[in-house]
Amino acid sequence: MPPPKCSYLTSVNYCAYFLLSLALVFTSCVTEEEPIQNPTNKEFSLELQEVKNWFDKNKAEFNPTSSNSQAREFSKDLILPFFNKEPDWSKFTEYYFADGRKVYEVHISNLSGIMPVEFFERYGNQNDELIEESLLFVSETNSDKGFTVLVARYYSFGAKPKGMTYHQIPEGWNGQIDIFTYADRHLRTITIEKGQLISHTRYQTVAEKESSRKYSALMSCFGSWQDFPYFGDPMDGSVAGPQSVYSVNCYFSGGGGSGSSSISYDGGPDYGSGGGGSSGNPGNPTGSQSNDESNNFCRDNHCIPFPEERDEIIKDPSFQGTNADCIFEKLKSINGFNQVSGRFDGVTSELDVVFKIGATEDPTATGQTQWMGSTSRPIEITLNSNLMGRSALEVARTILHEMIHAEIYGAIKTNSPTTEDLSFRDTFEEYTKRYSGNNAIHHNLMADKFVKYMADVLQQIHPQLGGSAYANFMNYPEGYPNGVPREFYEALAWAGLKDASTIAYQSLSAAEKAEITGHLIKAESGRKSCN
Amino acid sequence: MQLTISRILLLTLFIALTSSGLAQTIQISDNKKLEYQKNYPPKENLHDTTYIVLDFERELLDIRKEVQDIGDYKMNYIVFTMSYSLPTPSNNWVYFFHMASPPFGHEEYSVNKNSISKDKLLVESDKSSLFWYQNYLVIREGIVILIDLKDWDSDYDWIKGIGITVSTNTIE
Repeated sequence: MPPPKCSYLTSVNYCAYFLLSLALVFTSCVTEEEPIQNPTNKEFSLELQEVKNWFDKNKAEFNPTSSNSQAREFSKDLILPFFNKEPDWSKFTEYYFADGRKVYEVHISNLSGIMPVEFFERYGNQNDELIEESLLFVSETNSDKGFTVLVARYYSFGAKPKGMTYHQIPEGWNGQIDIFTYADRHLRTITIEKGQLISHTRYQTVAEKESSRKYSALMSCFGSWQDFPYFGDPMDGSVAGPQSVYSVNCYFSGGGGSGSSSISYDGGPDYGSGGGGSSGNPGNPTGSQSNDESNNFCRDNHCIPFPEERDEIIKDPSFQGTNADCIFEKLKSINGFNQVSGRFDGVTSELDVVFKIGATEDPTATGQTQWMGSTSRPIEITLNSNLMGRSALEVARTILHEMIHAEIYGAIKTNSPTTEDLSFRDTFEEYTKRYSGNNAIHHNLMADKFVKYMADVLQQIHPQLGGSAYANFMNYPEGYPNGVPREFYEALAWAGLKDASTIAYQSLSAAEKAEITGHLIKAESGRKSCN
Repeated sequence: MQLTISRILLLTLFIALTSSGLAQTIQISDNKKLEYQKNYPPKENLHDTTYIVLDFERELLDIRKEVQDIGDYKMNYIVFTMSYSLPTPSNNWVYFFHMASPPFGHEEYSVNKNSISKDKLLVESDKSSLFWYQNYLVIREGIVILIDLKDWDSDYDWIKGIGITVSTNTIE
């Protein structure tokens, strides 16, 4: 709800009265609670106050029912001793999971003192600055249920980033995230290297039965017994012990986690989510909890998404939800950008890119990429709004083409170049000596080095953009009777590189150019819709 | 009773003759072949027709024509490539292509030029390359018929037109 607007001086008094009355109404509801200090937004603090009220009312139910004085308790799951958790309500972040559930992540002021053995061996136990713990209050779709309460423990192997939260992995971060229930039942260990999801692990005290798990074709999982994985020195004794645990390690394919993993387990208790909660579902916008396990890990119909790798792509509202956005997501899902940018001698730019749909400087251009003059500003890619009605494959080509422009800018402009960046800069330097003007330099570079890789990506994405229907349309003599040929995709990659200044294109024979044009004309009859 | 039937028949004949007299455009080719009916992607707006008049002898125009063997058929493939120097320095190439074969199956037409309404008529010489870049995706959703300026200026009412698709050189 937006705050009331006080546009005129005459209405200031009325607004002040209104706000004062509003404050009195709300404070009268929370008179026995400590007010939460959040200087930035009053509404947020009121919502968080509801979370706090709900937690205070229900937290006794989350505590383990049985005595838990021993270091570990054995059931099918690995359960650590229960540690008291003191949420620091003044330090919180709120965000949404992709399925629409709102999450309040609240910092825990007292660290549990437990840590992975590998972490302990590397940093000893004097490493508080590398550990962060927080409570995740995940609003449930059933408002009677309130929240699912989880514990996230972050272990940084190296520098700890500022403002660590579960939903998005900081760029370049190396570390481990352990997710527990409030009662310290272990749910998952997620390993991250250079900001990328590498693997997730579940510890059990019994070997897993084959029938009790589901793996996707893209997920490699291995089970084995290993030494107890945690070290700790809580007040009531040591966590570590001689016993082994059964560890199931699942590796994300392609170095990127989201969308590639799928694993679930049956049996076992749930997360310990708050039974008997009252009103506790403040503002869950869309409501439906996803059971899609391609991006989640699940237990008893509760799913928690894996954290997202930091997305360097910013979507302007003009781009969000459009056909081009859908095509973009499909390109991302096949790792299309990395396939091409990986050819920049391994360059991965840390610069942000923003996608827009609107007017281009050259109104005849399908898209443009602009360096905004500073590494602190994202590179802008604008797709020409007048030319978005082309076939989906052509739009995919334009997005890919513009992303390569952006990668080139990123590699040559970054303030902290890697060895690969420096190597690429040498290559780029050669082109700046031979050609003048950004278009000529970039396009000659693309023509010489990237046409085949672009063609690879277009060939891979085509089945997702109506490729089989297209192949059926083209299955005639003089068409593509033996299936859509590789040359078709290479011709598509050439589009946009046919400037008079692109030497590689101008060096093609007339017959080769005519062949490219023939393919491009045929490509125009492809399906427009992304789905 | 018999008289009534005769009247109805006469009336029907009259309506049919009147309608054919009013027809603007008659398809005179049969390029879309039954055996290739699965090779023609559906068009979004088959009921809308745009007529483009082009000077086939215009400067900066390249016409490339070939006859393609499509199974048992010989089919025309004609590409008109127009260059524009303004308004931008880019290579502004606009294509009108007639492809009788799949996947376009462009037909040939006889057009009654007197019956074409102005809002359906585009004279290429009046248009910039920018116009085509901004509008070709909309224009191509319907049937587009290309007419040679010579025919348009002739004394004949019924002139030849060929189905085309408008395209542009992609600049990125």
